[in-house]
Order: sequence, then structure tokens, then C-alpha cells
Amino acid sequence: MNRRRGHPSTRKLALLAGGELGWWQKFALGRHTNACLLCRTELESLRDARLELSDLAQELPPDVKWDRLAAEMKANIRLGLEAGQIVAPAAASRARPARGEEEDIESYGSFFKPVAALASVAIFLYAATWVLSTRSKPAAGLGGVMVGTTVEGIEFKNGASAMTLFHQGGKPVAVEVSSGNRGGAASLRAQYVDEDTGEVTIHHVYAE
Amino acid sequence: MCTPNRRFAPVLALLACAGLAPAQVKISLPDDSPVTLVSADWGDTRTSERGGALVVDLHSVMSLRNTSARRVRGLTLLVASQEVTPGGRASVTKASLDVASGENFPVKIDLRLLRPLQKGSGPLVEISLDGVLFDDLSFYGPNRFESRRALTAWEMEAQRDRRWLRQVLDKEGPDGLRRECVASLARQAETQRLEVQLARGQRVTAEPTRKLDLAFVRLPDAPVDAVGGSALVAAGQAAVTQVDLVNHSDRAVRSVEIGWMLRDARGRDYSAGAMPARTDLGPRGRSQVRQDGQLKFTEAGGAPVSIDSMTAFVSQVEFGDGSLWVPARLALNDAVMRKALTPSGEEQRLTAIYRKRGLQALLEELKRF
Repeated sequence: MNRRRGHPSTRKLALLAGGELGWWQKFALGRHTNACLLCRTELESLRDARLELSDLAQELPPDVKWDRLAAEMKANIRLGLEAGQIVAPAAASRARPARGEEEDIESYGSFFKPVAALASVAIFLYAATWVLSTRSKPAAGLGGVMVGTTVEGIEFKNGASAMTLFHQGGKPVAVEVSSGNRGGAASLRAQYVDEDTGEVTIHHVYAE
Repeated sequence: MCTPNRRFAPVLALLACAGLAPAQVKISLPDDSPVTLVSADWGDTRTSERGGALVVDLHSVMSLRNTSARRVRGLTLLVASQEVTPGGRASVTKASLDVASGENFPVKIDLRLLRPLQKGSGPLVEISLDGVLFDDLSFYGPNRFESRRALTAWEMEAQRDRRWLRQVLDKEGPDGLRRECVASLARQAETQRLEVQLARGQRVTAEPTRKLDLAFVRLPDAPVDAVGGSALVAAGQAAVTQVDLVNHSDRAVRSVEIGWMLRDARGRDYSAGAMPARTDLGPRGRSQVRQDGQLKFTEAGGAPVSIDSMTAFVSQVEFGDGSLWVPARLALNDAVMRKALTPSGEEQRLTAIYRKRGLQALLEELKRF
């Protein structure tokens, strides 16, 4: 989004909305947004978007491999930074803006920029670590022995051991779950119909 | 990926990186088994290490032969791995079969076992026979995991639905059969299903719970009714505290299967599966069953379902002599029951034939048996 001269960039507002600016930048932008309806409106919309994303994250499936996802995210960030370092000098030399054109309220001096960037990265990594460590904890009441359906089939879990029966070709057409009353085995059964072969297959896992 | 495992050397030394040696998978069929193993293809079966865990990916297609004089309608194979998952077993059942004497048929098993790395010995996976059902509803097998009840119920439902479609064909002709198939496919498409988990022997959820009185639906000819009961529910979780049953018949009842319908806060109905439960229900008697553990219901995206109400109905009854009751086809005339009762595997198989291969293929299939 194009911003008018004398106003902070959308990137700065996004960092402010995420609480990822240094205290000085936060103070300066806070003063500006208090006085500027345009920037305050955009800041609020960015905060709303952040909350929506946070809500969506809460709805992610529990079997998402967070450790793997975190590793991939870190790798992508690293790759992005490296790519940025390669591209930035060339791009800067090709399209350096006219002096004064971009020097607005964002100009806080060459010393604070790297400090603020490092602080932002540190805050981001701390927040990401905290969020991921929270995500890795099992939901209350769902550790221990468990039988259940998954995207790939049905499974039995007992602590760190697991048995999964896979079925390719769609979700089960019927599911039956039993807690094994009167000393029986807890179990889960899923019925599948293969539309191509016409085979009716029933998978069953038991936890004795 | 396949990497040698030093700590699991006694077993993994035998496992070539090209795949799990058949010696590590023990297949046991009784000497008098009505089916015999013709061949087993282990495909890309693998063992590997991931972090601190041993992963066994078993992919097998076995070819079995019906060596009995009768036609095989269904079969259950047990898959056990006490070495890898103590207390955990699985079974694979093939239903709606029509295998004549001397014919071969395939059974596919795709399984993953995961356990922390440690020493072990013996076969990682044992496959054995739990039961075979024949066309006259006679049964062979140790029936350790109640394959007899399950296979018989599926076959009874299959016979019921084949008979129903033949009746439609006789009364209304091919056009009537086509309409019935389209209606069934529409019903299958409308059915909303949930991911279900059952956790047992754990601490009670930290979520706030509320008591929910169960609602009930009675099937017209059901010999046993659910008449009362309650559950404790939280966000996406339910623990059924008890279901009160009444036996209207003059026969003793050994077990029942209770079907569940679940309505969320937005008024959407879901078929939430079924719960089999053993019971000692005398003729004209009353009894109570309960579900130990917590059920967790989530939508396809993983979001917990906000449970507004739960409706129970008796969907199957096993009498003391082992005979079964399954709902009559007429039950589907009721709009509520149409939502609650999942179409049988046979109905889905037959309508899939219509959808994929056309009416003529279905007509030929209905003539087969």
C-alpha cells in the first residue's frame, strides 16, 4: 500500500501492531498514530488481522508436526534472509530513491536501525519458541492410551508407541468406537468403500 | 529412509535395508483354516529410525484362497505387535465378498508401527485369522475380537440392502432403481462425519464441563430401546456417564450397539459413530451401560465441535443365542433416521457401481448373488 510522505510505512505499522518495535520507535509511532486518523485506522486493521490469524492458528489440527514445521519455518526465514542479502545491494544500486523522498518519520539514524532489527528478530524468535513449546504440549486429557481417526486412517497410541492402519482413498464411511466396558478392549473401527474396486474394508484398532 | 539401527541390532540385522524380511512378519493360519495363504507381496515395507524412534512401515498384499466348500462372505485378520506396541492390536476385515470355493482374493494391509528405540527380539508383526463368515452365515475362527458379531451384522445389512434394491427393481423397473441410487448417493453426500478419538484411563479434562441429558430416537422394530441417560460435555469432548436400556423382547440380550447423532451449536447434525456395549439384559428387563473414557469430536480442519445435543438410538442387538437384530430398511422412511443411520457398506458399494459404471453394471451385479 502506498503511504503518503510524512507517514510511517505499512511495514512499520505492522511491526507496531505485533509489538515488535523498539521502545523508541514504539514511542514515536505511537505519538504519530494518536494524532493521525489514517495511520490509526490502518494500525487497528492490522491488529484485527493479527487476532484473526491467531484464532485461525488455534484451529489448526492437533496432529500438525510443530517441530518439523518450526524447522521448516526457520529454514525458510534463513533462506529468505540470504536471498535478501544477495538481491538487496543490486536492487539498491538500481533504484535508490531521491534524497529526502523516503526520509520521513521512519528516519531514526543509522545506529538504531540495526539495534531495532536485532531486537525484533530476538522478540520474534522468543515468541515463536514460546508458541511452539506451548503447541507441543498434548491437550488435557488426551495423553496415554488413545484410539482415534486420523487423516491417513486410524491409530492406537500408548505413550511413545503407536500403531496406525492406513487407508488410501477417502474417509471412512462409518466409525464405531467402544470404551470396552466390563473389562473389554477399548477400540475404534472404521469402514471404507473403495469406489474403484468396490472393496469393503473395515479397519479396527484395539487398546487392551 | 532406511538406516541400520545399532541398538536394535538383533532384530534389525535381519532386516535388509531393501525391506522387512518376511521372517519378521509371522503369518499364522490354523491347520483346518478354510482359507490358505497363496502369496504375500511385501512391496516397499521398511524399517527406519526417526529421532529416537523405530518406525516400521508394513505394506503387504496377501493373496488368500478359499479352500472350503462354501462361499466366503467376509474375513477378519488380526495384526498384533506385542514387541512394538504392547497392548495394541489391529484387525483388517474384508466384507461384502463373494468368493467361491477354490478362488483367490486379495487382502491389503498398510500399517505403521512406532516405538522408542530399544532391544527386542521375535517377530515384529504377527498376522492371524480371527474369523471367516460364509454365505449361510456360519462362522469359522477363534473370534477373539468379536469378528463373528461384526461380520454377521454386516452381511445381514448387505443382504437387506441387496434385497431392497431388487424389490425396487421389480416394482418400479430400471428407472425406479436409478432414482433409488440417486437418492442414496445424495444421502451419502449430505452425511457429515467427524474425526473421533477415545482416550481412556486419563485425568479428567481441564475444560469446564456441563451435564447433558441425552435425547433418544426409537427404531420402529427395535427389540431394545435407549430410554434415558446423560453425558458430561466440554468443548469437543463428551463422556457418556450412562445409557438406560429397556428390552421389549422375550429374549435375553448379550450386547447392543448404540448409534450417536450429535448437533453442534450452529444446528448442524453429525453422524458421530456407534458404541458397542456388552450387557446382561434379561427378557423384558432393564439395564444400564456406560462409556469409560472421553470421546473427542473434531471437524475435518481439527476444530473441536461445540456439542449442543446428543441423540442416542439402538442400532444393533445381539441376543443371548448369538443371533442379531439390525434395523429394517423401512427405518429409513423416517427423516431423522435417514440422517442418523449410516448407509451400509453394501449400499455404498452398489451405488458406487451405479455411479462409476452405470445402471447396466448394477443390474448385472444384483443378479450375481
